[in-house]
Amino acid sequence: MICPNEFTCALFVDGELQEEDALELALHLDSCKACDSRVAALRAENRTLVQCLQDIDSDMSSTVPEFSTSSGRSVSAVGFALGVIGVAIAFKLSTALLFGLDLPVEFGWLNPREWALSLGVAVNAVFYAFQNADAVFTDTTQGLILVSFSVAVLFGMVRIFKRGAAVTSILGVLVAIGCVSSPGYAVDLRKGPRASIPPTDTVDDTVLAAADPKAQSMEIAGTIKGDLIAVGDVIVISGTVEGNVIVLARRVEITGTVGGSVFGAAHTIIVSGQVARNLITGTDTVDLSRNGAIGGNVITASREAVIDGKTARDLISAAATLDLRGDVGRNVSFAGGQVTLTGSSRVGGDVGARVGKEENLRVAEGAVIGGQKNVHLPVATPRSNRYLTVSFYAWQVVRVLGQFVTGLVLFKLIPSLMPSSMSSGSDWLMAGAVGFMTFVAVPIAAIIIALTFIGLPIALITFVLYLIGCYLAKIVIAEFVGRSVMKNSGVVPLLAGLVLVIVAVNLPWIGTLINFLLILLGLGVIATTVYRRVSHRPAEAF
Amino acid sequence: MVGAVETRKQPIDLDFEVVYNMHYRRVLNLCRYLLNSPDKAEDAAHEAFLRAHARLDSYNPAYPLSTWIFKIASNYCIDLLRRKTAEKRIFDVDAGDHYDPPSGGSSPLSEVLAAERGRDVRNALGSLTEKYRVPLVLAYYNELSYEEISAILGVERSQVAVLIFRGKEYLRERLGKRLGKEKPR
Repeated sequence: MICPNEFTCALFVDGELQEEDALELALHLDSCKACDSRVAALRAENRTLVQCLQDIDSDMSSTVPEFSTSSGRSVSAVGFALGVIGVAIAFKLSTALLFGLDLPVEFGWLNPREWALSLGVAVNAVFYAFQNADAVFTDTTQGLILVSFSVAVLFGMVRIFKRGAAVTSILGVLVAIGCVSSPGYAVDLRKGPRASIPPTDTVDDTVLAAADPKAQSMEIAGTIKGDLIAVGDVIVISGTVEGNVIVLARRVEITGTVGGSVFGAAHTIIVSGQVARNLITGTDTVDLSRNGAIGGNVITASREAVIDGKTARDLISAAATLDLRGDVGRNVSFAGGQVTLTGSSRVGGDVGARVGKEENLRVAEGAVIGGQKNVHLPVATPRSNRYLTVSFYAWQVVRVLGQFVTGLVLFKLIPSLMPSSMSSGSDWLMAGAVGFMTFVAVPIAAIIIALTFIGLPIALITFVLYLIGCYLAKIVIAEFVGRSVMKNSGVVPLLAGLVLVIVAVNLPWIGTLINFLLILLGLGVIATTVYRRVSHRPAEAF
Repeated sequence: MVGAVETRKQPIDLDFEVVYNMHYRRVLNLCRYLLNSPDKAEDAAHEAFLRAHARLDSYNPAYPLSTWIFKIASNYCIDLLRRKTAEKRIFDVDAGDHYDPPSGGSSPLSEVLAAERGRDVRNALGSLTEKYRVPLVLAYYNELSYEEISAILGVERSQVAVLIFRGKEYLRERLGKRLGKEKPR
């Protein structure tokens, strides 16, 4: 026999050579010193390798974590507490950063403390969604088919290519874009110097315009056949917008014509032109000039509102002061500080004012009110102690039972939702961070999606899922608390956890904060679990 | 799961805790070798025991329980590795691997290893790609036969042989102190 190669020797040493070949090689080794020593060396190599690799088994210094059948790694109450504290600090810091910053004057209107703005943005978003709901729902079937198809394609692609999170996310974004952008509804994106539209220009599409930061103002003097969505410092609409106008700016002046509604969040909005439908604003000051005319309702949340022009339908205003000088076709509803109807004002319907004092509704001589004049004064209700009422406790029992049943079903269906591998404070901190992101980002995303043409169904589904997530969040945490306290999992610990959580969230003073933190943590756990389930296929052990 | 665990727990749990405490470190080490990450290994080890516990019914007492658990752990880890990469057939031997090894070959590890500490070997092993690391771990840490490894990895037995042979060669290269006279492939 000629000398075998090393590969054959290695097989021989590993005992993997066919019986006949092994016998032949063994005989050869008796007669060939070189091969014999090589085989001996390979054997020694194997022994050393086994020894080196198995060496770490002798290291008994590390502790064996406690085994728990239904949970993940051993769970630590201290870790949980650390996580809660961490989230609290992070929340405090982030809010301090958000709310405590002294913004430059130009950005003052961005200050979230300007309640009128945030209220205005929310009102705008909701109204826009409802305004366009009719159009959207005629396309609901098409939208649903598109969404289902896109989701199927997305999951199919992820499955087939088994791509990681980054690729999945990109695919997701692409599919989402594909979903929400409807054919035939083109968007003209204009930035910087192009944002202004000169009088001679006509744009057939919806215009998404962001002003040139260097320019003083952005003027829409031409004609836009679709909607106008504009962001800038000063925005002047002197031309014609046939669709709706959504503006976010410091100062907005509308001297031209708007065929739809105006949704504005700004420091000051002045309307001296024609708006065919509604004017809905969240502002510091809103001024409907004498020449201005609104074909629908005026709905404002502002510090100061001056309505000098003509409102065809209702005027609904929440403001520190409202001066009504012009015509309102139907009712006036006011809530806030003070409302004045000057001598030139005319109201076709009722005037209702929710004010602090009777004299805060001032009606000057000469003002015409077609209907009734109602003043709603705040009713002083004696503050009862809710902890002393039976209904409070009955309601809490109902809540616990509801959560208990939900929890049983939930963990039966998705056992992985039990926060298992939360062994350290950093895990909880992470969950809190993810939860905070989810809590903040999902509604914003839903609103943005809702603003697009056929995005409303997706937005509604997202929002419903979000609410469900918020509800389930505390159950997930309660299960963990119960399991940690009773060092066991099952029905009783779940119930115990729920009771503990409901007591905690009802504590005076700090209950609300605890409630919020638990929702954040639970949302974090849920979001992480969902993400893992989407990004990984279930593992097969056999 | 809440209810199910309750009912099934009592008779098995006592024994299983003993099994767990006895084998945890070894399973953890196996996962460390396979996954090359201490953190992931802890999760994987725990998952392996969870799976073992959940599937105790399917355990055949004719074989050692430890072997069964190691098998679950290795299967789980390999599944994780497969999931990590886009290429599912990570253990397939490509054309470049089908070579006829020279009769000379490189010098065995033994001489190198004698001088090296176990940690260096483990580090060198950790630096290998999973394609070579996993078969080596299964062969020399778990001491499985080529046949068993081929079943776990889902490749031919002959491919396992090549992977292990190549793996050891790379290991020698990584350890850097080849004492062989012939130039290794």
